[in-house]
Amino acid sequence: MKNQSNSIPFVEKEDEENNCEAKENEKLFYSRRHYSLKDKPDKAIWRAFQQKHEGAFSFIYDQYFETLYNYGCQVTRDTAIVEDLLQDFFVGLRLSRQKTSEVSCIKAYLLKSFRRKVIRHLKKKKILFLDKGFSEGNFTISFHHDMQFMNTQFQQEQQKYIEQMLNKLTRREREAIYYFYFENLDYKSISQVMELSSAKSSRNLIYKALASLKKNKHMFPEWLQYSVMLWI
Amino acid sequence: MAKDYHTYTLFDFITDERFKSWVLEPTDELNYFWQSWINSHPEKAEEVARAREFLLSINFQKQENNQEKKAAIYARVMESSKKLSTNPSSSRSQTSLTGFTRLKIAASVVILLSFSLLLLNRSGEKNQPEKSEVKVYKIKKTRRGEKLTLMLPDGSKVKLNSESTLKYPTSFGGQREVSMEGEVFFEVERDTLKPFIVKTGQVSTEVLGTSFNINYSPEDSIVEVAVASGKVSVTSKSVNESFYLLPREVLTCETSKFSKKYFDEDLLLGWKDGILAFENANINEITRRLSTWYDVDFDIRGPAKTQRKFSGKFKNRTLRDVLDGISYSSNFEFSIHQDKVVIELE
Repeated sequence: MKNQSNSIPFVEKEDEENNCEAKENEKLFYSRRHYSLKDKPDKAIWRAFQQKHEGAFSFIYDQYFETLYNYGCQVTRDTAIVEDLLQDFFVGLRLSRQKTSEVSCIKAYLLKSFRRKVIRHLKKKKILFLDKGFSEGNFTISFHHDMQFMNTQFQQEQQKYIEQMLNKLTRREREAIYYFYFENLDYKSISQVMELSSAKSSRNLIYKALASLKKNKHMFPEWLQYSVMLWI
Repeated sequence: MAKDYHTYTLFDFITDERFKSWVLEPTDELNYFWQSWINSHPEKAEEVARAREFLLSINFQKQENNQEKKAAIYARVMESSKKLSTNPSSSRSQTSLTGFTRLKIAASVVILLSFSLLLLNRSGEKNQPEKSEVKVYKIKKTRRGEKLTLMLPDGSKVKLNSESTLKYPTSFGGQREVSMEGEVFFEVERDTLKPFIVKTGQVSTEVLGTSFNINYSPEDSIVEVAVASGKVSVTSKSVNESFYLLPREVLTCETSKFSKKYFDEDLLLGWKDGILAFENANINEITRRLSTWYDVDFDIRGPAKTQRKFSGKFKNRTLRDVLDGISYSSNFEFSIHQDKVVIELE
């Protein structure tokens, strides 16, 4: 994830009846038990969680809630479903914690398990169709750089086209891009999450996705083709 | 790890795990590596810049303002888990509140509520007394480790530090009067017709519109009023005297002793911005304040000889960082445990 939020030491209570605009960061479950976990490797944290260490659970929840929530919202617009699934997921996680084996990358493990749950649920409700083709609305990419000075119309046009091209990629390709460029997972973790055979498989997926941009450059207007070549 | 980065094209960079990680989540190690590599390969600088730009331009929709949902779901997860642990025989499908089940429960609660409201209304009507000006008060409390920001009925903003209490009416009448204990920072809306009064034991502070901090400890009978902006008048019933305070002035009232000084903003007001500041503090003061700030207990061990005093400021740091900073210059060892922090004096 691009910007991992920094943990805040004290707790800002939120006043439910009050509509005060000064809403500051609120971590109701951030307890002092977290402090020692921040620098520990994933393996150790997961082991502590398995051994019913409550601080470990709230740490894991705190660290990865947004990751899972964002993933869920890429796949369906219905946030209520995502919330229900998340709740179910964490309850289930606690129930079966002693049965899980060693986990070396908690983020990848949680994403993989949650992804399975989400897909199963949406398939059951016939909301999701996992065909090989692409489906719009899932893993929509926006291509823009906040820091850039959008001074030339040329640059804006260029960005718009790249964005269109990126969203013409297959759903699987966009999903891989999501894990690689948004969640900053490595190829091995992506394969784990998407249940592909090896790290090479996910690398090929990314390569294919980006290469198709190059391949489709003829779809860009001529004056743009030259600069697109500069990208890749 | 020796890769032929100098032969890399833009495509190679954007698909390289190590390069991508550096751009998206730079660590000290990655920064060091790539900065030095770029410095020794200046011909690649532009390509690297392009690759960075490309990587930083790929965005997906990110959900914002999730704190409420996050906390609410956490609460439900813990509740469900408790239910399951005390009643292991109940199957998961009964307790997992997925969508439809939750709606059904919510509906029955609503029906139950409205039914009881109906009953209440019926019975109340007969015994209704004459409508009187009864003021309804709200009391807000914070515990150790908590801070709370809220808005008063006139739009004034207050922030409570840990272990503090504020009492205020749901609507202000001719005067705006509140009472408090502990430490509260006020940002009062200007209203020339309605003075704003804060009662702290024998002392009351009156303002028209201003921002100030009050620290009132009932056990020690000490009231401290510090003004950030505007003007404030402080009256003490015990000596029947009033004092005026201007910005950057702090008045300390100790039963019948009063003293006015200038104050350091971070030291006195820093708490509301997450700044923990110490000035010539000994270990007892340090642990007392950390206890309140972080909601931790301390166990101090070792020889009780004169300790070094500590001065310093920390902004939004974790307990560990603060203890690291203080122990370095104050010569003690600490260890953080599940339920307390142990300090070993040297």
